[in-house]
Amino acid sequence: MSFLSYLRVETGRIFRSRIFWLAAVLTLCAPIAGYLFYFPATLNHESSIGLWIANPALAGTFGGTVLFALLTLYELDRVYRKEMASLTDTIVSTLMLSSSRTLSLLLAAAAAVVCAAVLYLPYTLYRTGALWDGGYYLFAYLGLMLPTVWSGILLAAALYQFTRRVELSAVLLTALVLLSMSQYVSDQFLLRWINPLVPWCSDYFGNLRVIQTGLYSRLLWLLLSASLWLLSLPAIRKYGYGLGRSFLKGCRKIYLPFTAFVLIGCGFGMYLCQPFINHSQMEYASFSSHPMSTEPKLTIDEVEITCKPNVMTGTQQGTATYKIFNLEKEDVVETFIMNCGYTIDKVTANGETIPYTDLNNDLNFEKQIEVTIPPGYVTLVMEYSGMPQVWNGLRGSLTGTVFSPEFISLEMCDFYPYHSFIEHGKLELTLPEKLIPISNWVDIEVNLISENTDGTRTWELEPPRGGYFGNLYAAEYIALETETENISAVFYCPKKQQAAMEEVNIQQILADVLEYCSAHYGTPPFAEEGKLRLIEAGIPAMMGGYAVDQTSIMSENTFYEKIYTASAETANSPEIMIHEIVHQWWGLGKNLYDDNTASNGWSSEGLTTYTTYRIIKEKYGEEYAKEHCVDVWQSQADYLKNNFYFRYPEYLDRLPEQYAARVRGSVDSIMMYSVVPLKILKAEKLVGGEEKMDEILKGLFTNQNLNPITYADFLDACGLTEEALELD
Amino acid sequence: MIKIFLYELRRILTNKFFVGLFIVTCIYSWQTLSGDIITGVANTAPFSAWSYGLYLGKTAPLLVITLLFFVTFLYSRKEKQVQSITSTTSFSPARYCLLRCAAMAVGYLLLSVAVIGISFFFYDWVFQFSDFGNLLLPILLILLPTFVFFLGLGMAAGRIFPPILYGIMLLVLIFGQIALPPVADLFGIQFYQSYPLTLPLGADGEPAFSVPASFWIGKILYLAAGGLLMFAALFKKKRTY
Repeated sequence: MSFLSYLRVETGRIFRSRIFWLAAVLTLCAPIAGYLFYFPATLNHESSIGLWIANPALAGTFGGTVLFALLTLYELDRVYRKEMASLTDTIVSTLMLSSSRTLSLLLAAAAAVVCAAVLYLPYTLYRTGALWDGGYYLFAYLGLMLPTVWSGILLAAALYQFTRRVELSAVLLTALVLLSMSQYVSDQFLLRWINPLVPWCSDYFGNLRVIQTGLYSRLLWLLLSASLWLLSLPAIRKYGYGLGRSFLKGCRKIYLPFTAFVLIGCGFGMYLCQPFINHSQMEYASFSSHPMSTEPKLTIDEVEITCKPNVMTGTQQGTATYKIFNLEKEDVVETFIMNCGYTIDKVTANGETIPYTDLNNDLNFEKQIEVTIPPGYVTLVMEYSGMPQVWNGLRGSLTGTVFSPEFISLEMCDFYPYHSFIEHGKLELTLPEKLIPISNWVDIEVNLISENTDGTRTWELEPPRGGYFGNLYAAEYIALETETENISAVFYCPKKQQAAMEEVNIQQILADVLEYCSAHYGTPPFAEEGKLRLIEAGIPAMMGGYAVDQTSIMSENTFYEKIYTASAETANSPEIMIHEIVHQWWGLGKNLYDDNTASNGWSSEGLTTYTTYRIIKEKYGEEYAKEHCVDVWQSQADYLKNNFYFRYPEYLDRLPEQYAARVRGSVDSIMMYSVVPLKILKAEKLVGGEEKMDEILKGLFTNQNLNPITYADFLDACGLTEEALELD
Repeated sequence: MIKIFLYELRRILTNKFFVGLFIVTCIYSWQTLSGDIITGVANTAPFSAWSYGLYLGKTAPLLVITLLFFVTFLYSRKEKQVQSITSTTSFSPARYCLLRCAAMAVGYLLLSVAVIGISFFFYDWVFQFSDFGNLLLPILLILLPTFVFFLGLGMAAGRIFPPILYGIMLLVLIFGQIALPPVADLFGIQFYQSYPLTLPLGADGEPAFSVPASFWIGKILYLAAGGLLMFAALFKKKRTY
């Protein structure tokens, strides 16, 4: 009989076995856990794609893998359990039998997964409605679930063939499952073999990075499990030999170990050369730790950049042309920084190719490139390409610069080799025609310069002389205008979300916040001439929000419809949106800072958090505000007060730096976001209530003094002392 | 008798599973100390009895799994085949079984010493802390009841149906993850994280190490249950036909 005949017989037998049907039915039921209690894609749990596609598919992935792995052990042990091995071994080669059996299990698993995908399709279509994403659905079931179930089958078969003991194989498999689910690998997408890392799902801005990392990790595990399985084939016991002798005999078929080692090599190659996460340290380090040159040896009058992103692959090709004057009379080695994912293809000076060194010294998002620049006036051209990488410190959230068909996010250093002495720059960016670029800096001119025949449009961005490019977001944006008595604002949200946003009357919600702040503290300086800009950024780029000059940027999870239609009991995220708008008053309108900020936590965050609490209190009531703001601050402050390292800071110095940085980061955050708001709340009581405090804050905000508001200024305005605001 | 004991001990200590689990336990212990314990538990010092209790609670499941592997040796197919020969000797089967239990206890003890030794080294290296006297109570509270209960449970289960032992191993791992009341919290993982937060703080800002009656009662019940199960497994004759 040929291999195909054995495969046909084995597949028929598997499909007739009751235990297979039990495993298949349970696999079909497994996604239900994703609707009820298993929510691995939880960073933004309100996302429809996450709720109705990712979570059920990931539950099916886990359940299906465990079930088919157990089925594999059961099926492979069958001939030994029934003591038929001595008979079958005389009829058919063990290698042929084991291969056809494993392959038939792979086919059976594929049938079960396809059935699951078909079964849940109508319900998913119904629940996701207009947000349905067919590509993501296929990825979830056929790109994540199927390869994982296959890996489980191959691993189980390999373990059984090595150990020839069902219980031991089950224990080893359990250990592998637990390892994959442990906290040690929770943020490493490549090491999670049974529970793929899907940290977020985007309803409006695409999921390219999650899809790419998901497929890459599945391929890696398929290679590794297939190699282990191939390596286990010679270990199948024969002639009554034990593991060692059977393996040695089996290895005479040299193609088996050879192919296995080739696959293992490919797997390790994929692990070491993964293109998504850089190799930076996990703790954020400031630019000062870069050995950048501090004394200018040259001036860079201008840079013209041409970027052509390939949104299907998430990569880009760019050319940066610098007009440089080298002040020295000799060659100068100058350092540029750029995203770690790019490689320099060519560098020319006045048309001549010149040497450069990629230092590959990843730090945060960037690495350094050293270029030798000849003396005098030089036109330096750098050609570069690649996929922007996620900073290692964010490897668990997979957020950062991204090129995708639905969304592009670029930080300053993420689209060209950057140098701090550049006087003026111009960026030419070719994007799919539906994407509209918006910079986070209001004074950057964004002009459409051409509509191309290939379905793209070319935009030109030009910051004022001496200005920065800032961060750039491009999506299918529409602008929703909001007018209040004193301020007007424009909210950029994806076109796909327009109906939902209008349904919840987002313009009125935004107007309420703007009205509250202007009525209580005064109008911010930009209100007379311009508009406040609110930009919704995709979750692939960031979680949370930030504010810069006249612009507040918030991630899409701040604007899910559910948040604004929820009752006061369930609402939880308008705080982020309110917080980032309030920063236009505290932080950008008036900065709060003093020399003791590192120790007393005094910063714009404290007053912004307090104001957010006041708006929440007005909107949702006192009880809600107390529970969601004051009680949370108090518990954080209590935690800090009782924390061992806060009580005994001398022990912090004894900790290894990574742990000390973790503790210090936590202390700083609690001081800024919890302790200072509590002190302001205490001050509010001491000065005579909310109205009095509003008067004081209005006085501070409208003060013409351009210096930052210090803690001492605040205390003076309140007529209080530092001791009076100490917390109990 | 000592010769048999030493022989059984050597069988356990040179077993490849013991060696593998020993290495895994040592690595896991170090990771637990440098990952979870180093920041302190429930606001207490990383070297407080509370933090130490959590450390032992987290490593105890691995010690138990090793112990249950030892127990599987008693009930393996090969062992049963040999039993027909050993049972014909003048040596009492119960005494022989007790000797093997003693060998298992020594194996468990050695693994426990490794776990404790790693923690002492860690505390001395990172915090220059060497006052280990106050850590004795958590050691006894976790390691002793855990050993007696799971040895008894494993022997009883192995006697009834040996594959149950592997199911118990799985349950041990799950047991360590779920929140249980103090009376049932054998490993104390929940207890050591939450109970100190309810206690008044001492002059040094740390809650003194004290254990409520329900926790003591739970440990005594586990010890008694383990003892009874062991007794039943050792002395109840299995019906044979």
